[in-house]
Amino acid sequence: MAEPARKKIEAVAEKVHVWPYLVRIEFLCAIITILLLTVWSISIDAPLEEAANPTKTPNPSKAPWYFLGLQDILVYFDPWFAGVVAPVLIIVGLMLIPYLDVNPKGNGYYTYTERKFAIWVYSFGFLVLWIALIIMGVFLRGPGWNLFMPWQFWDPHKVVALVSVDLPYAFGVRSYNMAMFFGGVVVLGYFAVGTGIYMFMERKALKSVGFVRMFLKIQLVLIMIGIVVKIVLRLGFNIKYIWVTPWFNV
Amino acid sequence: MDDQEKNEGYIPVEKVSFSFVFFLVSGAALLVTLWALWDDEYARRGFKEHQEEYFKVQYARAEGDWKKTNSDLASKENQIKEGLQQELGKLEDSKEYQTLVDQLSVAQVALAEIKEEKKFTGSRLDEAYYYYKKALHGGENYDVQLATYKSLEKEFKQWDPKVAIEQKKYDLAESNLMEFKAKYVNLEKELKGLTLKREQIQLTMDYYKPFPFIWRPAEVLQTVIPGFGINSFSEIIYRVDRCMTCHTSYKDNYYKDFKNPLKTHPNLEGLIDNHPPDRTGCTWCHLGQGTATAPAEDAHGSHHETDQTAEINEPILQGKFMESNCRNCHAEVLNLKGAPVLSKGKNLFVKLGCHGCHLADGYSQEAKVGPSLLRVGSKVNPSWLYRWVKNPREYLPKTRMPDFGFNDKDALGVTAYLLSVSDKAYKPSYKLESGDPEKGQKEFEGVGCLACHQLNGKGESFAPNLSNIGSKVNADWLVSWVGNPTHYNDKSKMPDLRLTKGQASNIAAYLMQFGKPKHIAGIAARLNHPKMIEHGESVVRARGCFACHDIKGMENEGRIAPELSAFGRKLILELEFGDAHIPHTWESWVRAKLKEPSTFRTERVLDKMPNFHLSEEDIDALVVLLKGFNGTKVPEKYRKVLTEKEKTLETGRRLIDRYNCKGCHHVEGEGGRIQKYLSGTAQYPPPLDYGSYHVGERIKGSWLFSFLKNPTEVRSWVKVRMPTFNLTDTEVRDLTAYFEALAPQKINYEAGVNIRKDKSVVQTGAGIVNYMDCGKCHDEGAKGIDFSIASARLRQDWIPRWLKDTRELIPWTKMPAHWDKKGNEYLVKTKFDKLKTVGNVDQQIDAVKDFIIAYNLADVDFDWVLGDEASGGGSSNGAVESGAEDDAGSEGEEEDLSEDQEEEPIE
Repeated sequence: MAEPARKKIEAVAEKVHVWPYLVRIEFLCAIITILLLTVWSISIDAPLEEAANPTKTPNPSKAPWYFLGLQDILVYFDPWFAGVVAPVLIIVGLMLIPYLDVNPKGNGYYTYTERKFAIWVYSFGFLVLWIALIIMGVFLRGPGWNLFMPWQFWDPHKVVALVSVDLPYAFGVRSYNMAMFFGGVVVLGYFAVGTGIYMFMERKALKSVGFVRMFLKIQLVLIMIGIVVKIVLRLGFNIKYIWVTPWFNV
Repeated sequence: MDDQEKNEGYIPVEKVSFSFVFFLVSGAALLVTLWALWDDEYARRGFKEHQEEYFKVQYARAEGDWKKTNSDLASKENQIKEGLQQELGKLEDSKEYQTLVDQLSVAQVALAEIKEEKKFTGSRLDEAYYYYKKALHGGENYDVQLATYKSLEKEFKQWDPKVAIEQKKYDLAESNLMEFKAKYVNLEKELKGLTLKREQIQLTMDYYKPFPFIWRPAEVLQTVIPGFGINSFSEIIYRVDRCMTCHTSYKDNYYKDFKNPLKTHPNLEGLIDNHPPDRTGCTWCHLGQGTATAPAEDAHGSHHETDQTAEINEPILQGKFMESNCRNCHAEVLNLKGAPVLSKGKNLFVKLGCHGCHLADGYSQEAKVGPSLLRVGSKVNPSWLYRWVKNPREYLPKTRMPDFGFNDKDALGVTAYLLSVSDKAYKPSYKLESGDPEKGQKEFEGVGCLACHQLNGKGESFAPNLSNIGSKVNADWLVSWVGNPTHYNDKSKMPDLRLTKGQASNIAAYLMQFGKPKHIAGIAARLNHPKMIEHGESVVRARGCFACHDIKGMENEGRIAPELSAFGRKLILELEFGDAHIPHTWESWVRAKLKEPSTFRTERVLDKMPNFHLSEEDIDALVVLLKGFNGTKVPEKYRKVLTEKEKTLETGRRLIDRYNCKGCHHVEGEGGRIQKYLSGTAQYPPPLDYGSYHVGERIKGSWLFSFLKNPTEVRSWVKVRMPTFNLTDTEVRDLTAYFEALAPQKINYEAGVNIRKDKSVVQTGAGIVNYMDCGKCHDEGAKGIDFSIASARLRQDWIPRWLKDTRELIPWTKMPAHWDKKGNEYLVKTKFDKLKTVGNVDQQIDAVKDFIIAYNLADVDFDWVLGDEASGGGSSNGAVESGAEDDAGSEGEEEDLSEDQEEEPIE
């Protein structure tokens, strides 16, 4: 399956040797990076902090910066999801990419037009779900894990009204069982409709790619988008959970 | 060819040259590297310039010394050098000298050679021994090795006489030479001795400036404190303080006028010598960040709370806050020398009863400070109580009772509740039937009330001011209280003056004149209303009246306010600033709180602290103390641990303050406050510890103990009475021990009390006492203390001291000195000339001492006067001279009496 693709690439004329054309540019980049890091570290005087004091919990209590995206998801999801399922899905999803994405376009050369969907999905996951949440966790989360705009003072005594409700409650559903049912319909419906639309739109590719691949791919994408949907619902509409069951809440 | 063409088609040579970019970037990288080096070596090593300044100053000091020393010895040095030159010339010209030198060098070579040979033999011997032992341990035949070893050993020993011979030759040659050039050698030695000091100074100079233009390289100086603490995993925590890296010269007094960081530490003797920073470091007292060296702002601790960690990085203490941390090690001592503000704070904390509401390390056992309210209903009138609760300062402007800011209803409720739980069955022990106010005034002013109480501007303010007492208390209660304080309150601090009912009634009648009760109409009905009582109970509970007062039914209430043991380390974000617009700092919060406790009160924060109307100085002191409540636990080996004696002194001092002993007596340089209200020095209560006078040296511990428990009359002429204090046995024991501990020398058990005094000496003593007419004052204890209690009361050894240095011990005593003092010699006064018949002064005084001690048991002629022939006793000395010296005696008496005219008694 890969054979014809390789032949096609060989026809591309714009090809240069790694040595020296790539290496010299990489070397240049390395020098510039070292330069910037040195200047940065001299000017901000990054401190070595003292030994941790177990009797003094800092407020806010933050994970290392590269984990702050995950820590921020804890605001919107229960620990079993934010701390266990989500990281596992990220790793498994990344591992699955080579098996799910069998499109040979873009191998060995740069292209945007041929891989729009793939690039958008990846950028969404990396930039929005990972980088943006890290930025939010580092710069916008202050004492009490409250949100502060960069120009706001981190007031340790800030009080935020706690008025979030579950989605069924917001729609007027008051009975527990009905709420469970309602939430289930919304969550499962989201996955069903999303899967359906995708399958319908990409029905031509079904044959070449295969049903299992397409199904797994759209599930991962829907989970990814779902996390963002939940964040928007919480921040914008004070929705706590969408689906409340005796066993889990999402 | 084909291939190449094909390749060329695929691999075009890139035309862009990056040379210029590389040049730019590499240049920048070089500059940045240099910048990093400079930043690391200089910009972040601020201590280097301070140390360099220090080195320069030290060098200049040494250089000055050098110049001075050099000029001092210049002429002498030149003289010696010239002498040396001459001697050297003489020696060089002398043939004999050259011969001697040659002889010595020949002898030296010969000796060295022979020693070398001996050494080689020894080395071979060791080798042979090794092989011999190796063979032996290996179980082989070792005969050969042993033989070698033995022969070498023999050879080795043969070297000794040979060496000795050569050594002798050498010694002889050397001594010959030395003898010949002795003068030269001596001059050389003299020169060395002369210039020794200068050479030492030169070494100092070289130390600070090892090479021209190069100063000594700066280094990080530090104290490592092992065992600073133990963490949760039982590991030792080390602390490192590097303050001395910049403050290099902190213990050199030369730098006292320099600017910081080189400035000398203040009070070197008290602070540095007692707390050596090379052992304890600096940050235990100063705080800051001990490990940091530069920049100074980091070393002096972060002002950003997020960066602060207790005991590691905290803002350095400044100004009077420097006293706060003295508490870490000196918490037990109430009045700490060198920390006046902290000591004041400690005293205030206890005096105001802060410990009643707030738990604090070291103050959990303090007693309640307010009077008991168990029987308050029988003591005061309800209208007064209401007004008092509402605004205590109206009745007593300087009261310790704080202002709770009660509204009418709350004040009425509190009054109603307190009266309702007051013991209704209690009846005062006396009733005020009749009393003479005028007599009462005399009693009041004479018996010693003024030592504690103030009345119309006269008297001390240890206890409540009585100027308006009539408006407050019931007359019957007052008689009972004055006559018998423990009847009303068995824990009373007011002592029993052992007054008769008549005396007590007179005093009560006198006092009741001041102030008239102002009754509020209809108050009784409102106070009896159950709703009001119920409301009152909730207010009393909420505001914690039981923290200071005993209230029935509230004996087991806890403390109502936050614990303060680590309050000094409270973070700003833990403090509630309410709506107050004040700087958000710990200090401004505490000051505002103490000044006006309701400052931070809002609709939701209802703090309960009442207003103590503290002065600025009091607030200063309390703020310093509160900063000192920091929860730090200094390990024992770095902490001051009081010795037994220091503990005794501290306990005693607290008791002295608690019972206001200084109201009447001098103790440790202050006290005797009642003296200004007394008519004459004869009326002064005796000092307990005054200059070189220490009561523990004077009075037997057993007597002192008994006396404190149950005082009896000693100085019958002094009107102020030693009252019977409500002291426990432990307190009396502690006080007795305290008075003994105050003596500079350890007070031992008395020796010799069991031995009967020699009758003849006692008789002589009796004669002397009669001759000097001691009885004129001391008989019956009229104007001097009765001799009959002396043996039980006085330490024997003290009597001679007293007789010799009377006025030096107690300056205001009426007892005159009976011997003249000239330098360290004691001389018999001319008017007591006959005393000379009784040996020397010491013997005279000892005879008096023995007589006084044996007074109660003595079987002697009490009427015999020294010098009288008709002596019944065995005094042979006394009988010898019977001159017509009677006049002298009487003259002397007159002279003596001129000192204490009138009826003034004698101690």
